[in-house]
Amino acid sequence: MTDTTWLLSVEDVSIYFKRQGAEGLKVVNSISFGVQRGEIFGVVGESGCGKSVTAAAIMGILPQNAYYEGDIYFEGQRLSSLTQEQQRGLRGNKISMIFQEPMTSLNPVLTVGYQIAEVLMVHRGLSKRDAMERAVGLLDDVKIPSPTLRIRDYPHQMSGGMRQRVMIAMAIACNPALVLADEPTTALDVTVQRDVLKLLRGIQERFNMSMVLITHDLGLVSENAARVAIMYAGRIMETADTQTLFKRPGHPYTTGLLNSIPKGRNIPLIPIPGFVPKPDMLPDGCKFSDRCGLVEKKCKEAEPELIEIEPGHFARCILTGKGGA
Amino acid sequence: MDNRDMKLMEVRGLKKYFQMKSGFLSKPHQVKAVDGVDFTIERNKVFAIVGESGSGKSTVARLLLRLIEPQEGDVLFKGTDVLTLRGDALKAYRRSVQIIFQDPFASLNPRMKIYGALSEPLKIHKTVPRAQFRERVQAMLARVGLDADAMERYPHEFSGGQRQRICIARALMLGPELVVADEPLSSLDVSIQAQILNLLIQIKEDIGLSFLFISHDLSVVQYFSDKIAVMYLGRIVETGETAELFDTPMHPYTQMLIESVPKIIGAKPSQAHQQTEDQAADTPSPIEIPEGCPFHPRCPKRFSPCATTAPELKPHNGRLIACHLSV
Repeated sequence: MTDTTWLLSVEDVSIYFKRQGAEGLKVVNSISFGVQRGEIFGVVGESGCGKSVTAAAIMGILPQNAYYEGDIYFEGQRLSSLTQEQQRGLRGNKISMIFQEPMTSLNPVLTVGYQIAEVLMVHRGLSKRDAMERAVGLLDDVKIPSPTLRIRDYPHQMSGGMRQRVMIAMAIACNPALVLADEPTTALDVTVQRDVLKLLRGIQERFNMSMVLITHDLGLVSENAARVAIMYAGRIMETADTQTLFKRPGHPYTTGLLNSIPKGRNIPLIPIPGFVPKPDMLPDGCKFSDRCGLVEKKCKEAEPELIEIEPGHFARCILTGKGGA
Repeated sequence: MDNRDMKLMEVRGLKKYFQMKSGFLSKPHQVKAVDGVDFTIERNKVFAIVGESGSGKSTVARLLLRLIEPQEGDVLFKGTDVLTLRGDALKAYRRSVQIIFQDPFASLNPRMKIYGALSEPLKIHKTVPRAQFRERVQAMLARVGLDADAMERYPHEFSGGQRQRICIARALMLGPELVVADEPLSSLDVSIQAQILNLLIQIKEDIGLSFLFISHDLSVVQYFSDKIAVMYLGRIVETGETAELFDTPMHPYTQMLIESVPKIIGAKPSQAHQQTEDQAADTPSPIEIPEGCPFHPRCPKRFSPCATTAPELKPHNGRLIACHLSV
């Protein structure tokens, strides 16, 4: 499919890590999703579910020992058919990324101004002087006070929230069509998180950017994403528009996640038993079957497909639609 | 146990300043990590301290355990001054007050089997004869939901949630009366957090423990605690019963905290955020605490006295609040 209504289209992508003397370890198993222009698409999952490595595959920054099968299309172009040179032209330019930990993803020995300017020098061919001038404007866009002064700051001179704003300034420097935000506010305090998200949303709407918001925080997705995919054990377990998914969750894992979050003093917590399995120790059949409260014999027999349970709402569960979840 | 006195621990005027050198020739300056904090932990209750990074909440925990020493203030445990304890009396105090840390990966010795980690407190404090160690460890593992064969395994063989169970078991080995839990859920996945939280509640009910629960996660605190103190830059800005405080937060900072938590229900996509925000305020740092009310630079309701006079923590509608608006 090269349908251009999708800005990003991930089709049947599996991601493997190479192992010595064994076949590759599959950490993402045949996932598909699309992101429209101007849309925020949420990807939710717990640690090890494959959400970050999916972003790395889209961005073309998978580690050396990892590779993917399947197709990723961006603006109708298949990414794997591009040359290294062409891919580098996209990264940081039309597709950019915001990482979780701004302290480790900024260079500690360069000023924040230079780091923003560098993006523009590389992708837009601006002179250093023009690029620095533009960097001041970008710091202003991300609401950092007195940008002409702060541009000379080194990352350690800034607070966590400020550093994350610098990361955002770098990410939006070239007006990207797509921003991959991998846990962009997880390292921040709640009040700072709120401000940073507000900023990100403002910029996203102003420039009609698309965003893939990767997070473990259901609340964050609920408040920001238009559509959402719930990942578990390298699979998409459920996907729908956000309102539908939270109102009528169709997969026991989604229900389990929602029940695990304290909602008030007198509403008992119902945790999901067990723990998140490692990718080489997944159960047979449905990968959630060993933790699922509704498990039946046939759940263990074959892994269920993603089934459309109502228009646009898919769940990977054989019980859904029969009053299961 | 003295049933007449509900107070298990009383903290009065606690202060901890750290000296910090910022550079080679510059003058050292003071970081007021905890700047005059008072509270009381009652028996069989969960007292929570919430606050963001730099609020001093973890420093309070360390002070109470005497892992660090305060500049000023009193800590009374069952009426006894904790800060002057030495020798055997201090050792006895440490049996009664135990801690669970945030990161179960960093707080277990990777080269020690679980049996070793859990029997060590018994060995040090000599509370039971050595012949009973195994039995005690096994019973405690069962209490936290782990099998006896865990004893012969190393920490790396366990998941994060299981390791936190082991840390909880270790904290309970000496039969403490108060457990200080410093962000015990923060490093765990959502589905595991709920398991550990339920385990803590069950333990609390089974053996009548008291908790000092330190967290930045308001929904967890709302669920678990009986009383809350909200800390901001080394001071308590509001304290009261948990249910009431969440129903009607009175301090503007408490209100901001509660409003900032992303909500699952009632999502309004797209138009929820308009780009009308002010310029970003630098996150407050305990190195440069603002004059007057420490929260005033971020406060939407600030007025004339806020920039000059620091409000004191005063009773207001059955609660304690440090805000010029609540007089």
